[in-house]
Amino acid sequence: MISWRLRRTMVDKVTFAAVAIASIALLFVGAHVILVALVEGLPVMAEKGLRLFIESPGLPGGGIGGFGPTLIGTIVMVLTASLAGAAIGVPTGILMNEYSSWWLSKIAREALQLIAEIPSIVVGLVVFVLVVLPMGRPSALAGALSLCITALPYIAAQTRESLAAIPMSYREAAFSLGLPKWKTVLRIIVPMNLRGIATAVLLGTMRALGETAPVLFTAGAAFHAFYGLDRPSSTLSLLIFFFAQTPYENWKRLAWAAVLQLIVLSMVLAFAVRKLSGEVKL
Amino acid sequence: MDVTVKIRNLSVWYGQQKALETVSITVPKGSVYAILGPSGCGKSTLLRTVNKLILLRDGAKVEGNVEVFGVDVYNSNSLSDEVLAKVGMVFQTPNPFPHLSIYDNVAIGPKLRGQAKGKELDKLVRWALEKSGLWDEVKDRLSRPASELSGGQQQRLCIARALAIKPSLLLMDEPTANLDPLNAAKIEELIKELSGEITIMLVTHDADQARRLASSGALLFLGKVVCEGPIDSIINGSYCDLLQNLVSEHLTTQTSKTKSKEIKKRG
Repeated sequence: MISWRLRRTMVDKVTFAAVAIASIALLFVGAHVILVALVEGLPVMAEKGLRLFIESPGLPGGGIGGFGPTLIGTIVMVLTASLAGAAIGVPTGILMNEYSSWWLSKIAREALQLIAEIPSIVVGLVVFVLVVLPMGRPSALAGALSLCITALPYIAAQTRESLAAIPMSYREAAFSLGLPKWKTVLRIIVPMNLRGIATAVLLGTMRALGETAPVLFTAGAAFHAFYGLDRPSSTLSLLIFFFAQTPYENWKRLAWAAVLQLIVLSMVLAFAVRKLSGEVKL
Repeated sequence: MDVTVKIRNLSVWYGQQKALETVSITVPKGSVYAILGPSGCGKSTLLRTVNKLILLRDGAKVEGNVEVFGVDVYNSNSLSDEVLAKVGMVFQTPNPFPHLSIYDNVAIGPKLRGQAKGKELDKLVRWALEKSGLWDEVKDRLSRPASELSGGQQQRLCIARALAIKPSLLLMDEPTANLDPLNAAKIEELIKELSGEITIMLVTHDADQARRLASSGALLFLGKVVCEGPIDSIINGSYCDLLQNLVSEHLTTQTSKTKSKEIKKRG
């Protein structure tokens, strides 16, 4: 009897220790990333202040400058990608959940699965061949398109999930009003789930913000000014990728400031997502 | 006799599982028709075939004829929309739309259908809320979320929502099952009042409630209609005895079936 009790206590302790170690390791990785970004990025931010968000990068080996044009490029591309992604992804998600037996819905599901499985660098290459080559130059638009393609499966799948999570009882109430199906879906089911859909779009935005590979061949590398939608541009992730590789101390420091900025932006979005999805009361 | 709903040889499957088997019932116009039976016998399923809500369930398959106001709702899609616009429903658990106010919960049906707007819509909402006995309790907070109401109030709000579309047929799936006796009595009173004007199909497992409210009905057991007719002919004597008889009969046939199978196996 005692040995059995001892065994149980032992197993309990070992399991607890394993879980605790795993959690602490994970916490350590996360904390390390943020800490390094803070240690390297904060001095730059303190030194440059708001000018960091306005100026363009300094000359190699010169001053730090800022990532103003790149910030504009990032916002323009990520916003365009999110809006376009929402315009296609949300209706697709609605289609997949509410008309799941329809052939078009099945095709959409397969197509999205396929897109989600394609490595994002390949998405960049496809857009390079289809848009950048015919236009003769990379552009903010081409970058937004690649980001949109990468975010699309997330937006659609998340929209679908959130609709599927509506309890049957509310769904039945909606359909018992004797309205045509499309009206029931668009005027009752979807409005009931606006928060879920907003969350889906924000998740897509987060995804677009963090991606580097899709914009590598498509957005260009114009860090010194924002020239317009159809001209080369850049994103924060691209700036980090290019500037961190250079031997110039001032550019490396600018890259660190961009890292910190990217983390802050992602965290703001993540917070918004949590706030929104947490408040869905059904 | 005018007929509101005529169901013939209706069978319903959920995937492989048969929920209803060759059910035939006739619901006369302008009365309360009770669908009785123990839990899990297919009462709610039967009610949901009338307004096609059954099709929301995954893998549900319907076979047979369901005629509502003379239209076969599963075989004439163009007409069925028109017919089902005259069918309202109230559920076992109060389910007001959580994203809408008290007013909008009632107004949404007629508004989306274009039945009324502006002042007329206000009047309609007030009429429905008065009818369901909720008006005095909510008239000062119509724009508050419906979720602030108590369970009994929510259920009466759901009745108002169903009445606002001016139904000729009202489906009620155990509307008092989750309520305290006082609220249940209020709703029974309302059903009595409505029964003169519209047809009501009432699912219940409460025989006394059926006797109080309905004039005719059907008794279901294991997905089949055991008997149909005037309510007294269905529940003569003790309902409990009746169910007990049904269950014991079912058990005997089950055992004799397994026995005969065993005998076959041995043979």
